[in-house]
Amino acid sequence: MAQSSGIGLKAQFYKEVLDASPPVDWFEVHPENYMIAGGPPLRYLEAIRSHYPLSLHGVGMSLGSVEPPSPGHLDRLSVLIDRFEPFVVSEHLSWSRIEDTFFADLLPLPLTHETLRIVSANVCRAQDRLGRTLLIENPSAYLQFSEPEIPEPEFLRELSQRTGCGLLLDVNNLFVSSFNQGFDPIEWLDAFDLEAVEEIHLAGHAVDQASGQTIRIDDHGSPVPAGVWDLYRTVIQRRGPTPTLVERDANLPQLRDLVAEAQMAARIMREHITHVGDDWSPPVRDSAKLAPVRVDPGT
Amino acid sequence: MEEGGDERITELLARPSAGPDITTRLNVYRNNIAYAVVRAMETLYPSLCRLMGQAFFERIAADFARTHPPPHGRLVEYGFEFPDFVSSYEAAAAYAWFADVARLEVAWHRAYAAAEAPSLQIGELGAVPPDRMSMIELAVHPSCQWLESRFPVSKIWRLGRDETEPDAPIEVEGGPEWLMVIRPDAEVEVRTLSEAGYHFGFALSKGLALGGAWETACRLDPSFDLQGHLAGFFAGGTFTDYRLAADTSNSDDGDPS
Repeated sequence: MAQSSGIGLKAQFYKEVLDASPPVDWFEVHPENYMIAGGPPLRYLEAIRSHYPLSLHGVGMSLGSVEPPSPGHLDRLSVLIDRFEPFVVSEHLSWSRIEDTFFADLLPLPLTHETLRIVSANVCRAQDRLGRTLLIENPSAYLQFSEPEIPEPEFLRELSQRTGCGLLLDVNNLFVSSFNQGFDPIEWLDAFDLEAVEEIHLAGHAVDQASGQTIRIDDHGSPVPAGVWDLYRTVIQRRGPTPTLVERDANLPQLRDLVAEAQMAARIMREHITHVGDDWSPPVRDSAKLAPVRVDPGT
Repeated sequence: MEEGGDERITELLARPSAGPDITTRLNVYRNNIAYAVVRAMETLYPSLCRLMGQAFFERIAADFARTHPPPHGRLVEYGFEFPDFVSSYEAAAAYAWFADVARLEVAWHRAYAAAEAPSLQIGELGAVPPDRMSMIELAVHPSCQWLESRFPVSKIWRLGRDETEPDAPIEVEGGPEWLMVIRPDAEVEVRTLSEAGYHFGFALSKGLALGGAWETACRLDPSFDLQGHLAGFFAGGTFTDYRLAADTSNSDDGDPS
């Protein structure tokens, strides 16, 4: 599985995937789109799952909210996990919900010690309820808070150590955030716990101009750009082959174009192995970290 | 998130040393949130979106989202109050049928995403003695939705949905429709019924036994064809189970469950 690459499964591709069995290793979906009683989306997902491994990539848990993840949401996710047996379940380091209002975006968190306690407690609650570890993804960011912050890579490392969660490294998000916030993505990687990374995301983003200034916006609306591929090569050189997903949510191209991008990722991983030699094996994580660990919420 | 809250938010944020100002950066999040909700509404109301035109639909959907933000992260289950919002939206007042097209799209979506259930075959009623047929209570399929409109709403809805020219111009005031929307298997079906047929099916769905539902239908149409309608509903996979009304003797006879 380490060298595998997958693509995000969009409804527009259901029929073609079933008819043509495209050469990708796995598919990923947002579980929120399948939190329904029945119907064609669940039927298609079941049919496709019988041919491909599946990853569930959540956008609705709001792990950064002060209130715990919604029990109803976790119940629905648990039903999907039992039914589709995903090989990974992931979520984001972000917030989207205040009480009964949901903002349909992955909003930024001030990365303080208090936030670390809140997110750690929420990750543990979710992992305990789901009976498995989550992977937590670095979000794309457009803003920085003025409070003293824990740098994002250290924050994620600490979150992984406290909760046993794995990490999902979104290389496009890192590229976008580093540009918008003016930091060096290589220094960010130096501080990041690459050994905890169990999945990588790749995508394209928009380059917008606002009053003469450039801002990069993570819209998943174009092919993976050269700069993101370069950063991905660096990550693979350091981490070794890691299951890699190509995401595309807007301006959907032909399925074969996405398959070609996933194959590009697989090729980069193969080149790395050839380069390193046959004795290469992926870094092994401390097995104690694989089990969910309860932490004191501390609030 | 309204623009007016900028000062309170910006107090929490670091001044960017380079690149766009804080408002531009905040607007990325604002746009993302608005975009996601409008796209979700477009997915739920594809016909209405085309009938209204993209720009007007986006305006009314964004206005709806401001007063009805999603209560949870399942955007596939969001926006069902939109028909009532549309019906009271001043700029759309000249198009009274917009709201009913929206109601039909909600019914379509509910049928689409409803629980699966195998349909009951009419032959399975064979075990019921003829003198107790009127006591049969039928469970309708979980996907089944009912919609009455004073407009030819299914014709208008198809016009927006299929983007095909109708055979003849649609007369907007061309009479009411009684619709059943159902997904017995993979495909959602929108069926046009007679007034009596609609109230017959609707009465059964509310738990009335066959005899009572027939009386309801006969009040609207004294020549109501019971066998024909029942066969039609069964052929369309409308029912999933039956039982005999509890107030009869030996009420469990013939109950398959």
